[in-house]
Amino acid sequence: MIGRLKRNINTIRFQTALLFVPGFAIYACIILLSIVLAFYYSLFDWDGVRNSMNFVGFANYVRALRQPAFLNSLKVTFFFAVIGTALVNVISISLSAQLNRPGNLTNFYRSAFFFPQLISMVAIGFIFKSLFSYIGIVNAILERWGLPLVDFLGDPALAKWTVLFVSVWQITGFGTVIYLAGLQAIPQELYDAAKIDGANPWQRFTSITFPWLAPSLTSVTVFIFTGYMRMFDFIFVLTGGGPVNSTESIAILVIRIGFNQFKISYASAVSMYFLVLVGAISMAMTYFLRRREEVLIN
Amino acid sequence: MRKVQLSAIGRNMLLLVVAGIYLIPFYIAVINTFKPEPAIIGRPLGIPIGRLTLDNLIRNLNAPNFNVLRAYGFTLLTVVITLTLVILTASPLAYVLSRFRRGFYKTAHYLLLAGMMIPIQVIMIPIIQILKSVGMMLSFQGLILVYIAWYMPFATFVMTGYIGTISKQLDESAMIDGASLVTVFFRIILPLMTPIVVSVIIFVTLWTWNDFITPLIILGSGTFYTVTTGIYRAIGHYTQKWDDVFAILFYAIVPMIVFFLWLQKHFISGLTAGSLKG
Repeated sequence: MIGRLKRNINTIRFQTALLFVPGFAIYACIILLSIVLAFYYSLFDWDGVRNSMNFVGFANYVRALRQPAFLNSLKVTFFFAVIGTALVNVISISLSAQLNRPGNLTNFYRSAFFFPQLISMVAIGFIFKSLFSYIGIVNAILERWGLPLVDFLGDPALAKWTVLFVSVWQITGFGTVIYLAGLQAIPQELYDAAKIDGANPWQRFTSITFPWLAPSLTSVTVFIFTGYMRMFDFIFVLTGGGPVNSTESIAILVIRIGFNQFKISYASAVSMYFLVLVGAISMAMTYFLRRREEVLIN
Repeated sequence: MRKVQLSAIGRNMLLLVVAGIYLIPFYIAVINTFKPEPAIIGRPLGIPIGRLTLDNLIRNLNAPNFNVLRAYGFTLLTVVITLTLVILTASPLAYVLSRFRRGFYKTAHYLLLAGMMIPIQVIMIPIIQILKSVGMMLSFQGLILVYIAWYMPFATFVMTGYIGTISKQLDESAMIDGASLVTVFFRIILPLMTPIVVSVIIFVTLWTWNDFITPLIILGSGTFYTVTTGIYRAIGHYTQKWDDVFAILFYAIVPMIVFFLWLQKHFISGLTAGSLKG
């Protein structure tokens, strides 16, 4: 009896492993191993081709902190992440509040805002490049109207705002759909009661709508902020990181030094900073926003 | 009453303007696909009814670096094989993680969740070394392998949550009847997972079809290209022939829009459910 039971437990163990192993092994051999390898490469001085690897410890990490290109990429990354997230939140909360009313056009609007989610950022990037390039559509229109031409993508002071505009344009649709779902979960009675108490629309927004949106705000903010930190395709297609590195975020920098300059070790050290930064920020943001949710609910 | 109507008009005006900002770029991209080059720069917004043409589309069906049908075929094959393998490997993994939440499996679960935060650029350099060492660089198999691994955290995350809502008593009564764990999973649990599998199919299809950096780096400048890397090759950094650009973009945009119109309901509900849960 006990022997049989033991055999049963062993078969269940074996079968559990059988179900578990294929998926986890693929993940471990590609993703987890890659993280370990990236850390390993970052401790050497290696170009990816030579057989000899010199151990240099944390020298690549120290070097990065003194490199203007790396410090600039941090500045650019946070420019996009902070301003982009703020703009997306403000615009999509206002839009969703406007949309959250009965009306036959609501579905039309929702589809219009949702549309850009379906199309690759590469295609969107090229559409806007055809609009904003110096010889593009917008300047063709400006010229016809006798207005001065604008170098949206070639002027270092302007290019990062152009990239920001395109990204906000795309991501706002996502935010709006999520916030709309959050708004639809708010009980109508709250608004009715507030109206009876004489609250004006702005008071109703600050005391009911905004607190109730807290869970959506947490997920949208964390998702979009870290999404902005990782943003690659738009920058790559619109400016390639230029002009004069004005749009070179850390994601673009890692690929440039890793794949154009073949500085595998140095690129790995920068990518480790990148990984830790994204991980730490998303954990910290989730923690603080969740705490804020609890305060608002109680 | 009057005030209400006025504010309704104002609200719709505002929304129309925003909707315009959203739709005008598409309008420009689509209408100019059907115009000869001089008309694009001359009158980018106009619709010259008499002069609309299919020339741009026909000419670009087989551009020098970019054959549209080849790109569609390759990308579709990538999507289908990735999806099949992701579902076949992630769903049993999610089942184990959902039902056994202790010791090693708990650690494994955390390691998978952590994978959702990784920026893909961080792992690109080592992935190339890994693929080189097994001879899979620049190959279809290499691309598929990376996709399966890359989607594993997301797929197991949503599937684990879903399996948690399926009663454990189902497993237990089937096991008392003598079914093995593997049978229980494939015969009883997996069929119940259809809604979440549909969600995974929608997301993975959309992401894979639209993904750029993975095929850019893994397929390199080899013989294979997907729709995104294909249009990047065809248009590149310096193209100024907008008639060709718009035609190529038209080919790139159409399939996902058809896919969306086909599965519209699943799309928005899947998107909101997935993100609110996180």
